[in-house]
Amino acid sequence: MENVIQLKIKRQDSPEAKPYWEEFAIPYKENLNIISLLQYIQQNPVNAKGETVTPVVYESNCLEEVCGACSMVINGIARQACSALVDQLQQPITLEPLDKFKIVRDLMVDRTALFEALTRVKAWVEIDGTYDLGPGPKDFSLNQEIRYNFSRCMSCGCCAQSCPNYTLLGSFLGPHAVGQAYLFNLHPVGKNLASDRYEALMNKGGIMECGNSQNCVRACPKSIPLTSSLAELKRKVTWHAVKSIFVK
Amino acid sequence: MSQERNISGFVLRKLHSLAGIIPLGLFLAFHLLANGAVLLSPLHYLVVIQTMMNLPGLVFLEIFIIFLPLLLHALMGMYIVVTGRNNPHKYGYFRNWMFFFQRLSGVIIFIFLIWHLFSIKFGGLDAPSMIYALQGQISSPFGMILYIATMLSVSFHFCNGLWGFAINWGILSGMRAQKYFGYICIVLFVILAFFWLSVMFGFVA
Repeated sequence: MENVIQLKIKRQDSPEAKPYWEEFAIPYKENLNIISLLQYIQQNPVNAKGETVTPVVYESNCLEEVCGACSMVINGIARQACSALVDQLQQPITLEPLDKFKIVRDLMVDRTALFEALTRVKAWVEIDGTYDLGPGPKDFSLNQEIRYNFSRCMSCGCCAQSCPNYTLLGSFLGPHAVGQAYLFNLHPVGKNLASDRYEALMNKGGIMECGNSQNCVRACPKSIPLTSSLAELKRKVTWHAVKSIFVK
Repeated sequence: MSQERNISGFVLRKLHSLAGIIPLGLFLAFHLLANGAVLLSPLHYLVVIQTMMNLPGLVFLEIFIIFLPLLLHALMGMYIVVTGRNNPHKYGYFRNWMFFFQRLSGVIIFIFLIWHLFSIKFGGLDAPSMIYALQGQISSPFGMILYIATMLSVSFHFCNGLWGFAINWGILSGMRAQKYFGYICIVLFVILAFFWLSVMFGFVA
């Protein structure tokens, strides 16, 4: 028990295949994270029964919790594998893919829906033009500080995975997209697209699909105050909706 | 990536949130107050019910203040229940449990209301026989359980709904404000549940 790490992984050979659980026993070392266990399996693809299997497929990139690629469900909770330390986890450690997204293989999922949601709320600053626009307007540090919180979002999908109203077949954009709409509406140039963002949040899958379970703010590895942005934008979108009756 | 404008979902959810407080929350308060007369004496209750049954424009009030908002709130609520994927067993946070209980209490009230409406409201009863009918329902073991569950559900659904309403309309956006209003709503729930249960037991006393 002391010198072996017990690992249970929910595997799936292809997007259409049936998922199955496979157990692995990995020699214990101090200070391992989940990624190092998966790297060990890559080198020694042998399960707990001693059978040689295909290595477990997973995604990872930065290994310092800033890219969001290695998000998976670890002991029932969505988080990054790189910052999940084995010494702090109860064994057997279970690994599952984020099941709110299309599964590609094993722990690898297709997070395209997260990025499509960002394009729908126009989560960018529009500076394209036919001539040089010159330097942008100055911003106050108070505003910058609020924006900084939201700018740390890495579209990892933990908020969406924990959200009861975000589903694979449903239309909800997800808490991250609302947070990003809030971020770019605070930007001195980004706010030029504010009413487009309100429109997107009024549309199908918009902000009212949020049911205030407030899991997102707890699941967010970057502690982004998503629930505040949701409530703020619920008010602003409502005002926008009322206003659009009279001015359109 | 432009999308066709489809705001029906937004409008329906907004109306669902509004209807829960205005007029349904107001109706709930009125219903509690009127039924509370039974705690004074059965005669008081009879007088209140008789007066209400003779209100001018009662049908108009019932349709526009109660039935239509109730129908919208109930049907939209059921749709929200069915399309959600509850997960408090995995994410066992306080607010997530409240989210789950909001849906559970909604379903209990939905089932209760079908029974309540067809047996009492549309039962073709006059005021005195209403008391006997209610007594009969509440004193049966099944009825007692369903009534207690509903009194608690109604109190919870309204108080927690008040919290949700404050967020859905952007009245409370700060985390601290939301947290403390949550506490206020718990106190409200205890008070409301106490009154509803007293009125309920007032019918069998």
